[in-house]
Amino acid sequence: MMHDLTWGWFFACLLALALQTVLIVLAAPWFSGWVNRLAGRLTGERRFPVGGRWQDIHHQFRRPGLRQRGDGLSSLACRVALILAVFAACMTPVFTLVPAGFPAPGFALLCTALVGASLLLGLPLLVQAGTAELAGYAALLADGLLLPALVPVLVMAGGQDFSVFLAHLRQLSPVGDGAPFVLMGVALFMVTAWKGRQAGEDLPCQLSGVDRALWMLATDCVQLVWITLAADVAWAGSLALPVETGTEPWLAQCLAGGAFWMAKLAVAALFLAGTQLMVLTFPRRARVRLAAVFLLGLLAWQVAYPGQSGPVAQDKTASAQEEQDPAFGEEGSTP
Amino acid sequence: MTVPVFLAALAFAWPLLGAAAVMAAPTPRSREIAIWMAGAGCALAVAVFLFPATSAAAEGWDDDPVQRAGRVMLAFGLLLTVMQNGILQDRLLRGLPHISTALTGLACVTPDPIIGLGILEAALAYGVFVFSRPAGQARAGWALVRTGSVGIFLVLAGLLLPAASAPAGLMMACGLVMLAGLTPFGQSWREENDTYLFLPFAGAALLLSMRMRAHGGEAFDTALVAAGLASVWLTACAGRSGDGLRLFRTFPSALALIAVGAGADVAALLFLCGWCLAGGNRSGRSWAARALACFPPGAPFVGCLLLLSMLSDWSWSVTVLTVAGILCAVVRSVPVEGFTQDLWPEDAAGRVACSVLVLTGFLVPLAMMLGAF
Amino acid sequence: MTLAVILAPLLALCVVARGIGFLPVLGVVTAVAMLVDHQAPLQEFGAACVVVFSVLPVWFVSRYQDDGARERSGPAVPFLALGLMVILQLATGTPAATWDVPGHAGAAYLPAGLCVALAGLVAVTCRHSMVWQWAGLLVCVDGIMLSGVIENQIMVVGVTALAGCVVALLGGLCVHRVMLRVAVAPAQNGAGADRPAARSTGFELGDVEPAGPEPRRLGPEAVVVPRIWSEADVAAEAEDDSAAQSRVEHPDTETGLATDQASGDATEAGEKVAQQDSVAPNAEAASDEGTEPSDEAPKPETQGESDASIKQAERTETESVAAEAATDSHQPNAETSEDDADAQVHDADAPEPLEPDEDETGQRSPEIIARDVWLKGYLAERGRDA
Repeated sequence: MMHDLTWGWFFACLLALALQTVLIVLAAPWFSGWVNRLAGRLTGERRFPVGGRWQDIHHQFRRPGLRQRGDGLSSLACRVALILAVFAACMTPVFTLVPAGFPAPGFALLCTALVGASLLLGLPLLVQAGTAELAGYAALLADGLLLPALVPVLVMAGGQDFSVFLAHLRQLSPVGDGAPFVLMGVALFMVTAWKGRQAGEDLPCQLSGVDRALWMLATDCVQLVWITLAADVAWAGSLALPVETGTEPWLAQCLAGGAFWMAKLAVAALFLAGTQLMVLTFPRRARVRLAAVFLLGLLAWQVAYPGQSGPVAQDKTASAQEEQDPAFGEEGSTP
Repeated sequence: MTVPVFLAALAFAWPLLGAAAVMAAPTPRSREIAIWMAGAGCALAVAVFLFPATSAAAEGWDDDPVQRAGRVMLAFGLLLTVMQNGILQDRLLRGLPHISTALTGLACVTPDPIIGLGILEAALAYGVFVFSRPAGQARAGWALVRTGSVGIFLVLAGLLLPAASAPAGLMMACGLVMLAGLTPFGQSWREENDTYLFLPFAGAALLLSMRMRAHGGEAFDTALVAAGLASVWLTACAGRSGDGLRLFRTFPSALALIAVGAGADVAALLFLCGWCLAGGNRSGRSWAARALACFPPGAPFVGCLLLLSMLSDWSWSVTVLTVAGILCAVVRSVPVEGFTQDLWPEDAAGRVACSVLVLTGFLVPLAMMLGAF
Repeated sequence: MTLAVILAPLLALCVVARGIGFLPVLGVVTAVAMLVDHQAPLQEFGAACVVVFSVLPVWFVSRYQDDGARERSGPAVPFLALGLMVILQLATGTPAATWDVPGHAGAAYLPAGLCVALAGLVAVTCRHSMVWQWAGLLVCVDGIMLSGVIENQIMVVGVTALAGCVVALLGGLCVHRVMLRVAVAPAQNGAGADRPAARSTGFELGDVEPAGPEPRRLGPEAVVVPRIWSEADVAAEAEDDSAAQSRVEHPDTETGLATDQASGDATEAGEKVAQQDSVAPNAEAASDEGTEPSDEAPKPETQGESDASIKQAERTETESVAAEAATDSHQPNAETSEDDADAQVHDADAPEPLEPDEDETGQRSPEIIARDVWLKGYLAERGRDA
């Protein structure tokens, strides 16, 4: 399929991808600060202004680090985590998809990169001894179990390229046939809800200097990438699709997609702040999160592909319909 | 309008008339009037059983002989309730057994079991309204509404699922078990009031469960048998403690649910007779306990025999389990004191109940042989 | 398959997880899910029923104080509901009906109504507080109604409407008898400062009990303001003001005065009299009547007067009679008997003086103390005017 992709489109897509990546990385601290501010407003506390998170990161970048034992490993983990997060951000469509034929990764790779980044971000907590160690273990365990919990969602996306999957979703209206994918988006959104030790509070990280800045930036990036993924899946119609139309409509769609992305982020920030109102203990938060992701994903998968989930049922009525299932399995949700 | 149709309609309206008369009558004479009205209602029910309105069956109104006989049992239950009570001061409470019997009888006969459920809900609502009027009863009344509504919603959900599927059968069975008030699963009715509402309510639930078998499928039957077995064995395990006595009260309805699950409708009818005449808060009396424990002269004994003969066709292991459970329950949880005394009770209510139990025990197998069922 | 159908189970889960607050949203979404396919009378009836059964109870409950303090069940309950939904979806699969329709073959399918009903059943079973159970039953009603409308079963819809009526009415009755009316609400920060106008009117009318500039000893969290009555509330009050009035004083008669009231036939005036006397030592002990409670106290009354002045005048008269009785003696007098009869008409269980089966009246919380204080000041003022 490479033949119908002209060099012009190729470079335009590359440019768009770079722009999307930069957008996510730059917007991540703002988004996290905004969520924090909103949660503070909801709970009646005074928190930092929206730009505070970004200023903090900026400030930490210029501070000299305080070297401790094991900091070499921590700084390495932070850097690799940031690289992974940026890699994932590069793969996540913000306002435009890539045309067919453009090398695009699968959804599983994306999720693995994000989970890997979360795992690496938990590593510094583990390295430093003391009170945070237990929390670090718990966070690592929770993030490690996230990948199995995501299995239904991964099955939903299938082995195809993520871009192709979204282009397929794009034709479905979220209030109509695409409704199960809204459920899938909610499941993805649940990944970021109830993170951290307490409501609206990061895990205590004793890094300092540049490492701390990188750690914070990577954390925010991972969060924003998850949110963007969830928003993309929930409503893929706002993404621009190149090549099909001309350049100018594509640019207009890109602009509109950017605006829609902002709106989606605002809604997501509201929900995220709302989840911080639930007061739960730390191990419970992890359990609630994993169970919500898994069960909602399972429900979404069943709803979206009833033909495929039918054979799983072992009762008699479902088995009566089994012979028809393969016929409908492939075109599960095509209108 | 032919005479049988008129009789049938009158039989449904009669308890309502009785309720109106009882509520309107002055308090000292109310008991007498109630007994007369309930007795006439029994006679009407028997008449309807003997002369069925065949034209009504064509219009969808249920005309199963077992259902008709079940309504006779409900009418006798009302008569017994009225005879047992003293003179009640509260007018609403006085009329409640009549109204609940009328509504539950109507619920059993409706062309669609769904409407029957709605009428049951209305009966429950009225009864709870009457019960919870005195001070301090609000939460108890709410508990009754909650459990009954949960049961009704479960049955409705089961009816909405595709027929004869496993979840539909399971949900309907769970709902019916809750409606029938099987002790570990059902509601905790209070002792002093349960005969007013609970006896006809649970009886109607049993009668309705026979009509829902077509929709429930195999899972429905299995779930009913399992729930009944669990209740019987729990009765056997609980022994003679206070808890055990509470379990023992619903012993006939547990057996009746097993019978419904096994497809032995006549056996379920006989257990229903035992439930209406000797169940509820009467089970503390020695004659009632004897009848409930399936001792020979009485309807539950005959029902036991019928049930075992049907169950052995269904499944041997379940039969063995049931027999063992019944024996254990009889040995362990029947109250001992005064068990052999009081063979012929002194009070009129007990005498009526005993004679009706024995008569039903003789007549129902006879009618079965004659082909009435 | 629409978004509303997907959202309804999620909102039902929210009800299971967080309480009755999500019920109106669930009702609206369920109604939308019914109406979005096509609008026959059945759909419209179902949607109207669902909205009524979801919105009215929440509005009704909002007039009472929260009793959710006894909730012990944990956060695992919504996941039980979610797991049951998954199992239900697994067990049902696609109904055979959709296979016949060529356009819908293999399309997404979710027994949304039954999922909602399952969530409601889980809420009823696993939650302990009465309001939560009520919400669960209403969620059940919504779910069954949605399912019945989708499957086009008129009987089910009708029966569910009946059951919904029963559940809503009896539940509302139970709430009315078990829970406390909201007469005072804990002060939000800055709630008084937000409304200087209301405060000033409060000063004109209500500052009649100058108990001296005693310093308040209660903390700022104990500062109470009366609930701001809206016009709808005033109208509702006008309907059953006497019954509601007796409701307001329920806990006080129980805690303070169980013995006095045990004669069983206490009229409303008797309640007020007794309560007033019992409150007085408490009030002095709390020394709470300095600024906030008494100066904000008559604000609802002023609004009520401006809105429904006739009713208010009647009420004032009744209460002045009650206050007279307070100054005279303890016996309920003849003037209040008609009031009592009125209360009986409005509420079937009004004549009962105490409700022994409630547990939230065990201790006198600061709100109740402060409310007693302003009630006392208000009654005394009315009596003096008369």
